[in-house]
Amino acid sequence: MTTSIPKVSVAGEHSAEELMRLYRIQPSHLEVIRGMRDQARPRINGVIEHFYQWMGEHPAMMAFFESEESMLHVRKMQTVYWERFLDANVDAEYLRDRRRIGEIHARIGLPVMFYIGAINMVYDELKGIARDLTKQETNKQSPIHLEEMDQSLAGLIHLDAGLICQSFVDKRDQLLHEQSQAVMAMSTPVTEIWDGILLLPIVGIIDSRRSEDIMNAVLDAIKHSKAKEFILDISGVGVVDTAVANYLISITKATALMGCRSTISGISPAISKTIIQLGVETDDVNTTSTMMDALGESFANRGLTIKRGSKGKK
Amino acid sequence: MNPPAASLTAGSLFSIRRTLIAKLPNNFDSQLLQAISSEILQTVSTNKEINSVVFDLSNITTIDRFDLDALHDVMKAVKLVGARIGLCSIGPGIAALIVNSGIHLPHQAAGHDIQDTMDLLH
Repeated sequence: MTTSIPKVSVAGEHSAEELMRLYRIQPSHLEVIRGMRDQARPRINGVIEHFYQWMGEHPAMMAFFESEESMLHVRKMQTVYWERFLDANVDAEYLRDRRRIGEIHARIGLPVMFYIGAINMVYDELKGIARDLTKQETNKQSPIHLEEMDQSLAGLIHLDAGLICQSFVDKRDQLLHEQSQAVMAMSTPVTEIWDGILLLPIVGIIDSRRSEDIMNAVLDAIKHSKAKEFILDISGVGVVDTAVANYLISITKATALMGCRSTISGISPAISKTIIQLGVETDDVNTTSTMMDALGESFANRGLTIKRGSKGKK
Repeated sequence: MNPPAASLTAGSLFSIRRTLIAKLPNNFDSQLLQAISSEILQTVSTNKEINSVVFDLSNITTIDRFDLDALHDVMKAVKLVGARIGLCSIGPGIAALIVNSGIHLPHQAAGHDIQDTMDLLH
């Protein structure tokens, strides 16, 4: 039994229609953006050029581009991104594309703060284009007003940002979950070092969650190996307070119930003094100062003796 | 193995040499535990050969606090009539539950199986 960080996915749960409602985007707003398309498209390269000038003022952002080649690739993808934005065809494929971008940002570790900054910069540029267009529209019979254009652009930009940020968070949660699982497996390496003898060296900090993982891992190992001896080496544990001491005692009690004698080894003089000062009851717990002593005891309890061979050096 | 020393509503009670084995069924309740308790106490009191009782928990996959307390009381009662107490075949989940509940079972030995526990008791 292991505990883990729950994986929550929100971005993938909504349809295009639901998101349009959530961001108060009307089909007419998309029509307005599509109406801008022919005149805005030739200016995308200019917008992206401004974007890179803006980015040049923020070296922390430039650090995410490994090479000239990767920058050219990203530039090309940005052109595709904004062309798609101007197509304003918000369907399942559009949502998938935006979510994928969020996942890429999460993978490369691009902070959301930078993404929002970039979006904000491009939004300003698009508003500039909209202003130019409304000046041209004034001569038409039913001109599109700047306010309507701004509302349309803002709606879709916010939808994009929402999708990308949410999938960024989901991806980071997933990566965190995977890392947590990997760390969990590494943090409880219960090993049968000899027939009927289990060893678990603990390094780092023990908290309630880790102690629960340790207990589960050890008890499962005892069940499968039918081990009679278990050595818990805590020489790599920096701090032992009342809670940690009680966790360790609980683990030894549980192993005893399953017919496995526990020894806590690696108790330094400092830790020993701390445990006594804390008033933790350790009468029922078998302890040794070194893992070597614990191994010696466990071998003896199993009727095994260690002898120096003829090749051994004194 | 000898034939059963006593019969139970569910589960089983039998003796091996001088040890009485009480194999508890899963999902036992306090009523059944009372019956088991009475049979164990009766057997230990009347059969002077029996000097230890091993509670086999291999069938137990879940247990609540109420039943755990009842089991604790049965063990204490058996100890009072002079028998040594052993536990065997406790699963990881039950072991963790017992420890986390803070209940200290009055046993002298716990083993992987009946033979293991009997070896520890004698």
